[in-house]
Amino acid sequence: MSLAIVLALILGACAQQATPAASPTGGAGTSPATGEQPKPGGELLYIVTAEPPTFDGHQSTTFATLMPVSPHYSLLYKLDPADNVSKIIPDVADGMPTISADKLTWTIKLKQGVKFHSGPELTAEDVVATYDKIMKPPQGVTSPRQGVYASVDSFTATDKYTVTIKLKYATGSFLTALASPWNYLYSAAKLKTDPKWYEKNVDGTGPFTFVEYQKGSHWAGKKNPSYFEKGKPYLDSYKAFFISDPNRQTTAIQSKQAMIEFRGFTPQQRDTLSRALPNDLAIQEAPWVCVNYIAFNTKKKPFDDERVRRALTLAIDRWSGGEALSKQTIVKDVGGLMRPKGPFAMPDAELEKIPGFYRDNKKAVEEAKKLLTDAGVTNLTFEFLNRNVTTPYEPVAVFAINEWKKIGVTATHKVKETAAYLADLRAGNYDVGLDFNCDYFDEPDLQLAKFYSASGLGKGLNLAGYDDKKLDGMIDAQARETDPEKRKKLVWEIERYAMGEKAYQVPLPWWYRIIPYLKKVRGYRIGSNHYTTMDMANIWLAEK
Amino acid sequence: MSGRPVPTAHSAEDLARRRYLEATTWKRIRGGVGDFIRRRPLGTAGAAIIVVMIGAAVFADLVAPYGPQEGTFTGLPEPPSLDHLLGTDPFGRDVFSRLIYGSQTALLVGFTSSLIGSTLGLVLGVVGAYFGGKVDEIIQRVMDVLLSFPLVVIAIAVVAALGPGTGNVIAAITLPVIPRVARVVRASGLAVVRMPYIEAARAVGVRAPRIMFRHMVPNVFAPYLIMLTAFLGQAVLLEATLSFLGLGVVEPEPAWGNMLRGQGMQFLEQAPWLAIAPGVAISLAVFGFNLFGDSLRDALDPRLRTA
Amino acid sequence: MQRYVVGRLLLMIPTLLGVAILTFLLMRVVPGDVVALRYSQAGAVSQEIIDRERALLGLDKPIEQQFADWMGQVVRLDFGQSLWTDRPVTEEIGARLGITLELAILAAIIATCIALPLGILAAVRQDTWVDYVIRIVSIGGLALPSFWLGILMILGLVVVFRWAPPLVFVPLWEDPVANLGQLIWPALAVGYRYSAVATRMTRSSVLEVMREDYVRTARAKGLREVWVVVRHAVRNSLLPVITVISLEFAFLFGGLVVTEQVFNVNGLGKLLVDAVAHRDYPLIQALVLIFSFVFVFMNFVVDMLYGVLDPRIRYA
Repeated sequence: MSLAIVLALILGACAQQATPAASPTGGAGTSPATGEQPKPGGELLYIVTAEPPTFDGHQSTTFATLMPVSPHYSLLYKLDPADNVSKIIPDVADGMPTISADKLTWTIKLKQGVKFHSGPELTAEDVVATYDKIMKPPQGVTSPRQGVYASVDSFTATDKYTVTIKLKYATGSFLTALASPWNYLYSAAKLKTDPKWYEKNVDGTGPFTFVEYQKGSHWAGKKNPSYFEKGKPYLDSYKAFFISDPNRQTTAIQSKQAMIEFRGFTPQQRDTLSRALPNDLAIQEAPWVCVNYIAFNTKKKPFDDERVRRALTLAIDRWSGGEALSKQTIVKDVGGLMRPKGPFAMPDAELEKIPGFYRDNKKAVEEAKKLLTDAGVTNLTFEFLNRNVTTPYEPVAVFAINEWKKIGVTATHKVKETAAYLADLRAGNYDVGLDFNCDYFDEPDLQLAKFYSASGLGKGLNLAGYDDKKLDGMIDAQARETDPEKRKKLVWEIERYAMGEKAYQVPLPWWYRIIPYLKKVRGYRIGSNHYTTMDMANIWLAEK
Repeated sequence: MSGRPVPTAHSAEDLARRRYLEATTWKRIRGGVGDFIRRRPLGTAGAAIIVVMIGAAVFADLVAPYGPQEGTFTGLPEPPSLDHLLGTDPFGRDVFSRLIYGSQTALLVGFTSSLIGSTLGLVLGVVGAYFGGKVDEIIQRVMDVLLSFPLVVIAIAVVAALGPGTGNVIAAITLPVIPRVARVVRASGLAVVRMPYIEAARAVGVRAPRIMFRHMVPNVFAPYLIMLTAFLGQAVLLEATLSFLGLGVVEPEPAWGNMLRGQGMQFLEQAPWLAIAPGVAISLAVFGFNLFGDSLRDALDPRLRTA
Repeated sequence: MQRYVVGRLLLMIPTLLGVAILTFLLMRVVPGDVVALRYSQAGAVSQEIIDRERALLGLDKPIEQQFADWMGQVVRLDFGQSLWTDRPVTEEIGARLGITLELAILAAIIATCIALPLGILAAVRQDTWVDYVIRIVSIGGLALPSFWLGILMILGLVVVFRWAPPLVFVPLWEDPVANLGQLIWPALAVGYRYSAVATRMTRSSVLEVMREDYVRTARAKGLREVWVVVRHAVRNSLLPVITVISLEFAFLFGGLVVTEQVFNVNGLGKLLVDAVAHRDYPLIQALVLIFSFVFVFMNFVVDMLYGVLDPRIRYA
């Protein structure tokens, strides 16, 4: 099922020459697509759009840390690089966890002989210290994802290579939490002397050792000869260049100064490159676990009226909008609260029945106008808060503003610099806002977190500001459901309720990843996100 | 003008100035304009560009074939055609029409910010020069602070604190103009303030505001006017730069800066007209203001150095 | 003279203090804070965690105390830690200072090399086509948005030569070719504008001097025109040209923001934009202070130059 999710397309007439590499060369070890044997050697040169604010994955929330730093570290579990969507495989864990009958005790065996770059062996103590730091950060250290581990009672080292985890309650998402790309395994000894040591230093068990970090320029690593997976990594070394200007990113690949950028390019960058490098380029594309929400400030009139909110979401023709927007920016597929084409996605046939997702936009516009009349709202004018980021915020917002004109609603585009925009959103200082959410995994617990009541678990996340006990209960219920099919049904119920009936926060077409790269780069399979499989252990170069 | 000795006739330029100084007001203006056109072809070209721009802005509704936000959203820009002289942008909006409406924004930003900025500078400069001493010292120090402040910080602070919109972009561009004009005006004002007739006016008890307004302002008007023209062009350029940093006038309002910025930059290779059209418009406008401003300076006060 | 110099130096203090206070206040007035930004990318960060982190950075203290703390540090030449990277501000700035300095110097050299000959030529051939062409070219330098020029330059290099400036900065003394290969392009892009300013100043300054009596006398004596220009006009018109080049240098120092972005040069301008976007208060404050210092200092240098070069000026 998950295989069907990953798409690799040949796009545009210009890209046709790039056929040989148009299908992604996947996988661990051998690549299934072409059956090629990975070649060792060479240096991978890639682009990272921003610089890491910290080296400590536990404290970071940005890909800018993961992309250059992940090659130095291992995790307990990770996403299978050949799949990169939902298949979780052991990293330093020796096999999948043993779970007790009541699902409350997890036992994880570790591989033996896993060594830190500085020498010592990684043991269960290190794993426990790592997770303790994430779940209960010491004074002066932050841990933004603490809440993800709310179900955990304790981590204990039962012997040198065994970790036992006790849970307070069973959840359907705990394995995902253990495969979080942020959870680099650190040394217990180092953490004990200085819990902040990893903010500015590197010492992991990953496939590459640290060489240098030149601020504003690049990050470099070289092959770890004593990496625990024999034969890996294939690369001799890597360099990550920090380039923020999109035009400069394109020219860097065009002039072959860099080979790939793992976050995602715009369709324009893709087309430019496929025209300039017809014989050297491969392209992979896939729906992204990132989406823009239109958040209605439910504490302000008339947005406290669900009819008004529903009218505003009804006006937006997501199907044709997504298609048109996909030609100029990084959004494309239409979906609900879960990623389109992902494992939890609602089938289109069901989605079409929800207000705002009708195929027949005329009907939707009529219904919207009627709702506004019923609500006694005429000549609605409001400010639409957005951040000053071009891709994809600006075109997406202009699109929505145009759609609202169809029902006689005038939205003024109020664009603020990111910091000011966030401050306004969080303070509820807006009418309607363009919010966003990005995750590392198709996981309802992650994607639905911002739908909890604003005064409860959703504090600081639910920017629409509503409190809805019924919805809280629905989200809790799906979290505790361990049967995947039943859970899916529960999630769809939430979608119908939260975005159809109540229309608190409604998604626009979901983001879409486009990765054009030099086709000599092999072993990378595009996933649903830009956070996972960044350890580069499976990447190799077909030519130097 | 009366403060400066009439130069001995030497060059054609001096002759012209002499003629100017000796003529009556109406003749002065008519003669001045005629002289300007004859003797300063570059300045005239600049003036022509400005006139065209103002015309486009004033008659935008007549000139522009489409509304600035009108269009069918298909996703891809259309190349130039007879229907759309400069093509369309990805929202199906006519680039030519947006360019025309954009000249309203450009002129609004340019004129308002340089007018307000220069006038505040004029007031501060004259006040400083007239009173001297402590007052002058304080004004100067404040101007120094403003002058040495990086523009980005001011721009972000203003735009972020006040929110987005054309008005705040104008505010952000106005602030750096003030100290620059104040400095030049103060220097000219200092020369005037020691003139005997000002001393005399003071002695007979004419009030300070009246002296400043009636006697000093006319005498520093030439540098003021020159600075004002110079900043007109710079303001248009600054708006584009702020747009590049995401701090300019906001979509979907038509402005040259935001046309050049987002979609323009992204479609640089596939649809170069999106970026070339506003780029040329900006350059041409700034070019026009500068050509005109230069010639104006040469005509009014060749000794004034404003680089 | 000595008293004047000391006085001028002392005058810098209120200006810099004013800049410091203004920056501090401006940044506190502007909404947004570093912690919310740091966690803006991943959705699931609760308000509680954000509040704790703010307290950790001392952002919850009253503003006057924050200012007092900061001033106390600055007096001891301690600019504090960056809120974004948690590294010393001096380290952040140190890594970029050299690059911006080199870029600004390169641009100044380019500008001077273009401006002097063109400016003099335009003045000597005033109101001929030579003058017009030079003036149009130099006004062009003022009219083209520099980021636009920069993007076109890179694109041109890539499309025509399939080559782009190197991505990694190498110090000049290690590899001059690689170093210049990276920095010459942004230097040209800003140098064009810079040279336009200087050319115009040179032209008007030479024109002015040529109207002076002693030049007329020299002409009247029958000296050859070239000689008149070189011996008298140029020498005596240099002062304003030097002034404008120095002052522009100071502006450039804080004004490379956009160019650095376009060329992906890791300089102070880019650092400033990022720092402001991140609401990294200590870094912003230090950077603005540096820019202001350069500006004030260049002004001081220009004043001193006047004293040295122009015998008519005496500092009592």
